[in-house]
Amino acid sequence: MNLNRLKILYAVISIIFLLALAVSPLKNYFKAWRNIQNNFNETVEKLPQKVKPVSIGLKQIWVADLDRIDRCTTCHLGIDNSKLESAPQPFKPHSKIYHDIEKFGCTICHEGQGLATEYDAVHLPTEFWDRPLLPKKYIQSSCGKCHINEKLNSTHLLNFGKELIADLNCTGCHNIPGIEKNFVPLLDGIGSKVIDRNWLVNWLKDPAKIQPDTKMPDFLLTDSEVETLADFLMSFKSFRNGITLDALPDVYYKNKDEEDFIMLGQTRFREARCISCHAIEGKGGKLAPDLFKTASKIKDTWIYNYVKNPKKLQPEVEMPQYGFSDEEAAAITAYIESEFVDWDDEEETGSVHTPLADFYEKGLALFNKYNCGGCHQLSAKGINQNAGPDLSEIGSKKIYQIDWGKTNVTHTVYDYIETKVRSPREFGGNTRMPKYNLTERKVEAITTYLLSLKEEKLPVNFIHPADKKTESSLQGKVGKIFDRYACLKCHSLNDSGGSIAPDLTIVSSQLNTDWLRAYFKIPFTIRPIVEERMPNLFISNEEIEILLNYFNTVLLDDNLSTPINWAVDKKSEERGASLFYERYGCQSCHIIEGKGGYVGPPLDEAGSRLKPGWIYNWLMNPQKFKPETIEPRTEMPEQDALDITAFIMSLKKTDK
Amino acid sequence: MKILNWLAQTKIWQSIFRTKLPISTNLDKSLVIFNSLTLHIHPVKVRLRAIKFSYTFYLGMISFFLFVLLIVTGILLMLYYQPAIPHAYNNMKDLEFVVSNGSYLRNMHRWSAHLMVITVFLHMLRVFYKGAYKPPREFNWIIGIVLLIITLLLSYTGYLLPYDQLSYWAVTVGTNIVQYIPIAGEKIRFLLLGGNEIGEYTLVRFYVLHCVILPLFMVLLIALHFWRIRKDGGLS
Repeated sequence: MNLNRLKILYAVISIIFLLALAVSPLKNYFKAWRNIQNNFNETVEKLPQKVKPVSIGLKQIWVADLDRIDRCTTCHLGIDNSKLESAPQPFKPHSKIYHDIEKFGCTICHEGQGLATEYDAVHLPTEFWDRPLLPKKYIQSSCGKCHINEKLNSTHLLNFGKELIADLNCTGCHNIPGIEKNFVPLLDGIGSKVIDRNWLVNWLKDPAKIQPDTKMPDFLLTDSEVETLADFLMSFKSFRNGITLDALPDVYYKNKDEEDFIMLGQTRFREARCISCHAIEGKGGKLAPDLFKTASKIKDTWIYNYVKNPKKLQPEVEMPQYGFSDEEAAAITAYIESEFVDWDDEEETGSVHTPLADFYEKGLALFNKYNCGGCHQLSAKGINQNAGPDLSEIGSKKIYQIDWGKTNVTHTVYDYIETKVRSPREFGGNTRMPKYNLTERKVEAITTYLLSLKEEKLPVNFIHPADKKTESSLQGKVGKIFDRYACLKCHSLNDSGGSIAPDLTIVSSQLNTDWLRAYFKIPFTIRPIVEERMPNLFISNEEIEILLNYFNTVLLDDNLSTPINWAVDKKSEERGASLFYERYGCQSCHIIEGKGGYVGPPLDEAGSRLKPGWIYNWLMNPQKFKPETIEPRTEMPEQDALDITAFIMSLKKTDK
Repeated sequence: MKILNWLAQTKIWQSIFRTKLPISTNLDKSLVIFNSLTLHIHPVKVRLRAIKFSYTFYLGMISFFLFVLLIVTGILLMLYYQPAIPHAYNNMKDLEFVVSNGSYLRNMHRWSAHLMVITVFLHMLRVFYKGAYKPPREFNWIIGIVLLIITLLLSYTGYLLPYDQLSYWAVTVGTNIVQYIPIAGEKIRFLLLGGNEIGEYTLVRFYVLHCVILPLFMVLLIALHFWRIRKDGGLS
């Protein structure tokens, strides 16, 4: 070989190698973030307000507690500088936030590849990072990582998602921590409840078609599955624990078409304010099923028994057991039978349906396959729990664990959950999750909540779990009455119960016993602008006395009293009146003798309704008792409060 | 030239390089080779046709060169690497985005490793097809096989270190295969993983294997391999 040629070859290769070597440092030097930082310094110079330019170099936030390094601030240079409000992205400051950016960093909330310094790697889903930047619509899911079960005002979507998950009873099939199971009707005796098998067939085909706001999802069953399941369910004629239905009284059959009888039913129906919970043709409360078309679905005997005592047929239902007499219950049944009929209902064809020989086994298999027993109880042998996946850490689901089927969905956890919630069968034929008719906002809310369920172990000092509600279970007679009338569905007691009606924890310190006694008999609205009122539960006198006794001995706060040396006299009353009208202008919200605003309750008979200790303490600090009340805390002097109390106490009910 | 000449006369130079300058006789030339650790890999006299490219394709030397490259880049990479979870993966990110020429360093290491496996394998093929394993070189053939195995093990142990999905599953599969070795399988798996499943200790074990134990054996065996080449009669 020619030695000269070899030398030339050697030289050329060396030069090529050297050039190749130079590529790496050059690439290093021309990284995009350097350009952005120079750009920032130029932008800042042009601004009228004075902003310090940055020195060129990588910037990062190191959060030792969370063991995270976020280099987002390399480009997002104005993140904590309010002077840069008008600057272009990525130099804008962060919107108002409750967390110190230095203490939390960025990716703990926004996710994304905080270690990276290139746009695509940071912001877009990439194969090399499981948690790409969270879209803005799901950002509240990160709040839920630390603020567990806390209902923050600023996380409406997260709160809504949790409510929806509880409302739709997702926990019937999935384990989701912190969410309780909802009431779902048990199916024992459904064969004696439903008038017509066809109704059940249509219902199973598409529940929302019959009841648009139903919580029952569409299981997308085939026609033969529907038929088998309907046969299976219709075979359950007897009720749980050997309960039998009481026969309708003769008065029902005698009078059921008479106007007076129906009117009585309608009056009782109104007095009981059934509409607070049950809607009728979409108007009314959302707590219980719409009663429109009920008479075309359910047998009258069942309705009568249910109105008389709901818990007999559905032990866990929250509907109160009203104190109706047999005749009244029958009248209500007659009213429902005459009014809530589906007039479009097809005439019964009269053809007798004969189920297949093995309908029971097949029906049971279907019942188990779709895990109907996850929500509906049914006492039959062979029903087993066939739950769906555990969702307690769904937000941390690894991308490789997800079966994407034939979808074109971007491979991210949030896209997966979103698609699954919107159309559950998208990812393959074997999935059995039913379809819910959800609006886009509801899909977003549910996705947000599910995303907040992470396996991530955050330091204890970051976590803000809400105080766990202590279930107060009342015992004895009082417990039975509370249970019967479902008081805690609306009212709360010692931090547990509903949030619809006022808290009862210290009710006896607030309200006068005589007033309460009368109120139980005829409830009315306290505030003119609030239409809702407590239903007339038709409580017996004996029960009222037991309740009042309990209120007066337990449900009070000993600290709520007026000062010992307080004496009411005419002078104090007059002074109170003038303070009421002139100094504090209370009449702008409260009505007295037909004059005043209608935001607060009228005070005409407040002297008979309220106790002086309550009025006095309320005036000193209203928010102490109802944190959300809009009554201003005026910081009035003690003497003023006492005088106004004296004035209000003088506004007693006059017997006419 | 003058300075070099002067330098060659100093005591320090002469204490390092035994051979006296100028080199004129054949004896001097052979002493240069003889007295040098690196050069005496060859016999004192090598005929030009004996180092013909088509005899060996230089595959052994290329492998060795890649190995040196791997040691150099590997040591530099060690400066930025912690064998811990989740830092290991984050360190890859640091190398990619923050460390100057970090990607280059890592790519060099990775591609050199791939290339080395290829060249070692080709080297073996060459030896096989040219019959260079025949006596008296049969023992060196065995050493060569062991070197191939160590090369593969080095590749495999290095695979876990980034601690991404690819490495995790590669190690899961690998150690599950080990499990099927009769009698000792379970024990070996336990030993490799440092427990019953992949975790922090697995990472540490693979790290030590990759950076200390296997390279040490590699260096010793390479030395032996080279020494045997000469003792068994040189190239080809």
